[in-house]
Amino acid sequence: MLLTILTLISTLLPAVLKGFGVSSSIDNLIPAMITALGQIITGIQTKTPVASSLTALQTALTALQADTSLSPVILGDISEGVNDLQAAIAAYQKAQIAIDPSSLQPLSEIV
Amino acid sequence: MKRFTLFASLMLAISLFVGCKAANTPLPANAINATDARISANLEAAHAAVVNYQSNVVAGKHTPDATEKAVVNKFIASLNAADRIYCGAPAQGQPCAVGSYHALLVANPAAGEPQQLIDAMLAVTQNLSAIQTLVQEVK
Repeated sequence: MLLTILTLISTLLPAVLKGFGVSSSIDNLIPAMITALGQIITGIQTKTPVASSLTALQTALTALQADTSLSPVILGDISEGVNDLQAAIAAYQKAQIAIDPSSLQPLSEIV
Repeated sequence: MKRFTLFASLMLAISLFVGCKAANTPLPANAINATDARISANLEAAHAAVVNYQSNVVAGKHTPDATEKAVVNKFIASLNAADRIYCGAPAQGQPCAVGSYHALLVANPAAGEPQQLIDAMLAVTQNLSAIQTLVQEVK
């Protein structure tokens, strides 16, 4: 199931982004992000940590963030993505030192 | 194109839920065993991403459309379900609810991961399939 999803993403996304007239940077970076995901899949078998893959994804998003040829709308969305990733990476790294199961309070829905 | 953020967030979630902790790294504090550490770290990271996403929505930095809301809310619901099985609300001076997996591990560190929790985590992962629909819609 997961592999199917990733395959679909890797197949569809570059074409989708091209449809928006986005720059060649995205053409280059999206495959890099897909590669990072591939490394994560490999990690299922090798049991390697996900931290490096998370960082790779963040690096790709940060590079896109610096692409001034992108529209402000897309850059805004990318910035939000970087922000979400940074929050997750920080939490993941913190949990490598000490977990806090009691912090998992129910999340409210988006209204 | 607002969906790019969702895409990034969901990719993150994919990475979190398929990731495994290295076999030889020391256990973090409060973790009973490696499985406990992995599940808690994954859920805590996913929570952080969702909380960050929600704060952007509340602050008006991001306005999801109805489709995106539905996808995110389904993801959140499955995340909450996994949380309940893994830990739940603190009870009796303990960090987790009686009967939760973490509480079970405290009593018996060798306890295996219950099928209910495996299914819940799988449900979270399966909800990511919605990204396929979103990407196709954008196209």
